[in-house]
Amino acid sequence: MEKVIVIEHDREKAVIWETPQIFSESDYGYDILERALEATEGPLKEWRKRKYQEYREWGFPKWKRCNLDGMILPELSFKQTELEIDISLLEKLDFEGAHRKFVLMGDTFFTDFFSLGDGKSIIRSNEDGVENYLVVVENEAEIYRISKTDRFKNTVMRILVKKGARLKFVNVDLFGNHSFENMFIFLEEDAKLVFRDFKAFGNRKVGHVLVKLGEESQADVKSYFYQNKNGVVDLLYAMRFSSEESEGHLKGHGIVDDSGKVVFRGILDVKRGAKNAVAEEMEHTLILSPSARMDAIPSLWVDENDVIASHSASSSSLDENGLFYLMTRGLSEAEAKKLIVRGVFSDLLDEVNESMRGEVENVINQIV
Amino acid sequence: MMERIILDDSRFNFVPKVKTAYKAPPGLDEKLIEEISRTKEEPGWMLKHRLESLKIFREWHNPRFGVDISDLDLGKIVSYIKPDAKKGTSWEEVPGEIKEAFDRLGIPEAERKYLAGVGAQLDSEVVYQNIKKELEKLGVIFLDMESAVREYPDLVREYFMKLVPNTDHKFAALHGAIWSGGTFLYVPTGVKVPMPLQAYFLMSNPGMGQFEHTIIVAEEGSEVTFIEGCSAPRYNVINLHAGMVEIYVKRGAKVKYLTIQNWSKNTFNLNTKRSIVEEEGSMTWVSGSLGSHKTMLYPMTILKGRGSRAESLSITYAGPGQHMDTGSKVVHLAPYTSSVVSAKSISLGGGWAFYRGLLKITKEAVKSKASVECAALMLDNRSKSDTVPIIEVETDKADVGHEARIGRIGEDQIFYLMNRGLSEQEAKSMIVKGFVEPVVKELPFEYAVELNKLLELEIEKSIG
Repeated sequence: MEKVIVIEHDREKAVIWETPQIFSESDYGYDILERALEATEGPLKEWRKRKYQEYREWGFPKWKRCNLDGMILPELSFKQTELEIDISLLEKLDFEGAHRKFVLMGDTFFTDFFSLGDGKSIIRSNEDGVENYLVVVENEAEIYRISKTDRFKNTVMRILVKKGARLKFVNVDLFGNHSFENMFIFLEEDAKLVFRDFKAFGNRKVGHVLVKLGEESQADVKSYFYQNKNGVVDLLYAMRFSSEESEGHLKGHGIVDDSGKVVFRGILDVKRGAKNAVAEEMEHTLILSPSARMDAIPSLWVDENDVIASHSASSSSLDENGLFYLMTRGLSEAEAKKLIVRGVFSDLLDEVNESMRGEVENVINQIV
Repeated sequence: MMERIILDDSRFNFVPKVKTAYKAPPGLDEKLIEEISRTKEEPGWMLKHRLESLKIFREWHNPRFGVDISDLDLGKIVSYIKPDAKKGTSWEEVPGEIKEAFDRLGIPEAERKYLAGVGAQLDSEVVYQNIKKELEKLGVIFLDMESAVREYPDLVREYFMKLVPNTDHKFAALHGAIWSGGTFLYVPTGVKVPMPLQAYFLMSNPGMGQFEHTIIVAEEGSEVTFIEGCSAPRYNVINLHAGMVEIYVKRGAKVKYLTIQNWSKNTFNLNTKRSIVEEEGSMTWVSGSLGSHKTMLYPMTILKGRGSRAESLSITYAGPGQHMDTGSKVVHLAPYTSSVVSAKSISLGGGWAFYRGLLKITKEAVKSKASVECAALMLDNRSKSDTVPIIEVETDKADVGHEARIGRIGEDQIFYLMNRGLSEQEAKSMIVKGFVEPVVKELPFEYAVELNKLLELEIEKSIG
């Protein structure tokens, strides 16, 4: 299992906070598993059974920065899945995720299983439930996913970009009372990833992306986020460099308004032997309201000295000078503010697929 | 080819031949605490506080972050040793063997040349403290903590563990139970202490714990600089240092606190330092952490008053067998507050330097500005360097920034300097000196020279 936080050095280990767990009587039990198993055949069915054994040992996380009070698991409606999946690949790409409970929930109780490969895939996911993705890119793929949830969604994604392959992935996650995304992206030698992630609105929105870079692979990750009302968006993007000559860039831009809260964790984890790796991270949050809150935790963990590793994080309110400049050009204050806010997401619109651009634009318009 | 720089701590690695008047058995219980309190002729409130702290200590869990302390067996730590020496008020009164120990550390020269006063703590007690007459006339109180508890009980009680309560964490509770020695410094309103005051802490016994308590109260408009130096010879059993520093910076006052820590490689350094700053006050921490086996230390500043300021400059060195978990905490509670954190680390020979920070801007701290900068130099690829700064912002009217970078000495930098006629050794030495310069320049002259000399020696050794 690929863990997110591995802090050890030679024979020494750092003490790592263990999240307390809450065991709930209304958790999915064996009766739900039985219904889930009816919708699956073959090795995947056996795998679900095994995962359930582990699932029941875990409670739900009691996170400090994003409490899940009031979370109610929805009734699940399982779709028939009769895919021939290479279970060893699922195991090879097993990971901890935002919390092990949610990854195991995705593996055990998925309502829909997506198996994607080369070519263009456009996914609209508008129902509550539990989704599981296995993506294996041999040559070149583009994935555009837009997820809109009313109440609850838990998503597990395992993505393998094979040697020399290319993946562009645009992930848009909107609304929802409780939404969890757990992704593990493994880039083999010389693989390239362009990943754009946009998360907006909702009550509790948790995004967790771990990218593991192979030799000479490249990852270009941009995160866009918006939160308002009393919502919390809790994001973690981790890049693990374990081979030579890999390059990873992480940029985060977002806005928090009303009494919303943004938690942005960016982890650059450079392992010994990752010579000549380039690991860079930048994050900026625009805070629009006196009640809004931002937590930034940019971490650099470096075992190899022959690297370029840096990170930066900042927050500010609307730039008064920028406002003044725009207003001297004839814009009202409101128009000037809108323009600045829109500027935060302008790059994103260039990246989304034609068919979903209108929807994303609508969401950005709601923000401004 | 690449760097191998190991700090030479042999200067500090001698064993002082000092007799002890009383050595407590290893471990900790009520009986021992009552004995210590009785020996120190403490008022009842202090004994009560000690016993309460012991109870909390027994109930608290280990820290849930930082270095692994599973090999720290508190049951084996000797928590109180009284040296066989009377407290001196002049250097001449100090027993010969203790003088020899401190001579090796350069204390008399330091005092003679640069310092107004010196407090030197051997094991659990302050054995020498001197204060210039002119400071006494100004009303400055500069005493060992035991004397202060006896002579100024009300004043000490007002501040003792009020900033770091014994419920703060396990080692704060331990400290509250077993504290011994340390310094009480009180600077009256408007007094600007003209020269730095210094305390030096030395552990001379194997397997002991040192738990000195330092309180600085800088009244309105006053200014003072305090220097703390720590060292211990190397033994093959574990030592523990769990001191505590509480600094109260009143309105418009300025305090600068400098620390050079060079505990030996068998020491767990689990120290707690905290300051609270009132309106327009200013607190500066300058830290050099060189020694110890494992360190957890995060000097904290609470900016309570409008317009108060904090600055933290630190250099952490992690050599072979060292895990240094150091950092800085700043909490902005009031409008127009500002803070600057600059943390540098050098890791080599397999050492592990970990920066852990907290910067919190609360809702009330509008128009505040804060910046954190971490830079780490890894001199080989056997070492490790990490940064985990946590930034929490609760207002839209503050500017906050953080930057960090980790890397090695660039071959191009060495090439450039060698092109200008420097040897490789000189080039590396110059780059390392340039890296630590912002901290070194804040140190008193003799410390700056010493630190530079140590680094230079080690670079020479590495190239050879």
